[in-house]
Amino acid sequence: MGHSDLSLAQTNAVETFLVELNIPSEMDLVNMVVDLGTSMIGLRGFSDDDVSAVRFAIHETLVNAIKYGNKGKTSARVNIKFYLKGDCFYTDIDDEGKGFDPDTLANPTDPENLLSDHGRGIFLVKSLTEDFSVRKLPDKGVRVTFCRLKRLGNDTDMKHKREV
Amino acid sequence: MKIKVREREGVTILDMSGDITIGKGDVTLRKEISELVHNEKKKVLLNLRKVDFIDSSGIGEIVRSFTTIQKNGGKLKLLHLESRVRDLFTITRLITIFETFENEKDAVDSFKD
Repeated sequence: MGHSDLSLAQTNAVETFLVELNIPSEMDLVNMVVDLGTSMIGLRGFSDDDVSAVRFAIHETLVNAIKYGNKGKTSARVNIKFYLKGDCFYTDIDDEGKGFDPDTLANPTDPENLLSDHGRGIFLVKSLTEDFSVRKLPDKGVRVTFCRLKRLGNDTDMKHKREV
Repeated sequence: MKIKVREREGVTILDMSGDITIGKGDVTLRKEISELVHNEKKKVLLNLRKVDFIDSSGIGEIVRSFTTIQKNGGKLKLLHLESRVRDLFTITRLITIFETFENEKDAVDSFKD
């Protein structure tokens, strides 16, 4: 997962700005943002599998930003940006929290975690997307970034990633 | 998310429809499972045919339902996993834990073993 999944051509591609929005930390707004993101990726020739993966990833990351990053304080803002780089549909989600280290999260597929009732969200987002990162922002807050590389034909790439 | 409960040959079938997501479907499912445990239902089948979207909280709630029913001496199985829901269960390896069926009769018969 991460940068190694993308070619240099993809990561160096010119960024095409699509849309940016800034919302209060309200769960009721999650579906609106998810619908916007999935509409945009759907309009740009991505497959149904791509749309489905992005739908899941935006939903999970935005819920995390509201619930854990901003701790549910509606006054705290979440900034969402959708953009294209080559054949990658990128999403940045910024919250006002302290962030987390995705590499230290427990692996939900380990036998001792398999029956846990939580801890699968970020793992699934990383599995369904490329170039996943968590970065602290200069002033305050954290940015989670991920992209979905347009799959060609069937879902082979995704199945390969699952086995990694 | 809506749940319709019915019985077939001693198996309690929960026909679920809509999204199972944080604060919505997950809470509805938890209440329904609690009711089933209270009524000592031990053979439970979750029919996910009409579930369009499930998030990690929804997956967690299904796992919690599985362990709750199991702790009370019962079994919970899954019916009709839509392909994208199945993908999520495959990635998280939950597919190795749950018995899943594509045919309701087969699922109901499996409780007779």
